[in-house]
Amino acid sequence: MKNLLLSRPFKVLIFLSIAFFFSNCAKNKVHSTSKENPDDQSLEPVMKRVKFQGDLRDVLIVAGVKQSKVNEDLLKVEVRLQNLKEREINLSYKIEWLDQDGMMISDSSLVWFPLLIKGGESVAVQTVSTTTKAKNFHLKVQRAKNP
Amino acid sequence: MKHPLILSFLITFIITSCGERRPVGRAADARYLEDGSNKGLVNLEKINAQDFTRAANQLIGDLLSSNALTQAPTQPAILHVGELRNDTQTYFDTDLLLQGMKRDLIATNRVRISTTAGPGGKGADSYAQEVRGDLDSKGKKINRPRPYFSLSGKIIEETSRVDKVTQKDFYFLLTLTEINSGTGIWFGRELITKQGSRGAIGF
Repeated sequence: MKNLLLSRPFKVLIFLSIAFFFSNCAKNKVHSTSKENPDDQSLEPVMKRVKFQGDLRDVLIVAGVKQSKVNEDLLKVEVRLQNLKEREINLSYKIEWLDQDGMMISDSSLVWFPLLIKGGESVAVQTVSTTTKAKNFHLKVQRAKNP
Repeated sequence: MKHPLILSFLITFIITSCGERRPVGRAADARYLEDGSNKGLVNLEKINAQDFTRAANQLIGDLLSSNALTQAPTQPAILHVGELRNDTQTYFDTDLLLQGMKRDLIATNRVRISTTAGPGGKGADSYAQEVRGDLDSKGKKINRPRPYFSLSGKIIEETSRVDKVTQKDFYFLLTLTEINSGTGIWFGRELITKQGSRGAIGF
């Protein structure tokens, strides 16, 4: 047994396992983006940090963002996400509303939603603010646990 | 064992894999989850906390997008939240859905929700209703705002099975009625579908 543990192939396999762990598991981080200027009321507001990094780099892009007013004075946003790969990806996302000062608004939007995007497909996710205080939003995206 | 090297590698691989860690023996693993977390249990047989929040959020978004609430002549209009029938196989308090929706609706400042009006003269707040009754009997002036809208609905469950895979469809069906005309002006439908052979921790 001692010989086995000290053998070179075993050490290589251990190293590969640890490398596999750090490359695949440890970086399921949450990616987020928001409007560059909270006062931007245009139909297609400019977003900041649109390019996803890490495990979603070259896999997912924000293909477009639109905003409008519903119910006379409530902000509605639609974010179009596109899968650049041929394989489908399983994601979870949420959209948090922020007020003028960048403080989070506590409402039912604070929940993660599952999202499956087929290869090459673009999917729009929408949400409506429940208060006129909402000026900006945070889109958060993460790879789903069960791909 | 013919291949101790392979066995050792497999054990190491499993230890360093991304699989959900499950409690071994009596190891303590209880933890708190934030509301709306994606780490909560995904169970097939019932509607869970995340499903209620998700359904409430989507229904409110649909209701607000329809601009139905802006049709009231005076705003904020009075809304009566009526019965939400639970037609699923499990018991739960329908306030788990409705309370979240009421919070969001109040925040819009388009409606105020009546807590002293209801079917058979029974409102949600019996104490407030009693005090109002006393004041009224003593000739004191009380406001009698009449609900302009009424919200009601039901939750339906459908089950399908193919081999060992079960699919549960939970339909949240809500109707907003304009009381004056007696007609429905918004028909909300939110479907939450869960599929699998057994529950999971997180998604």
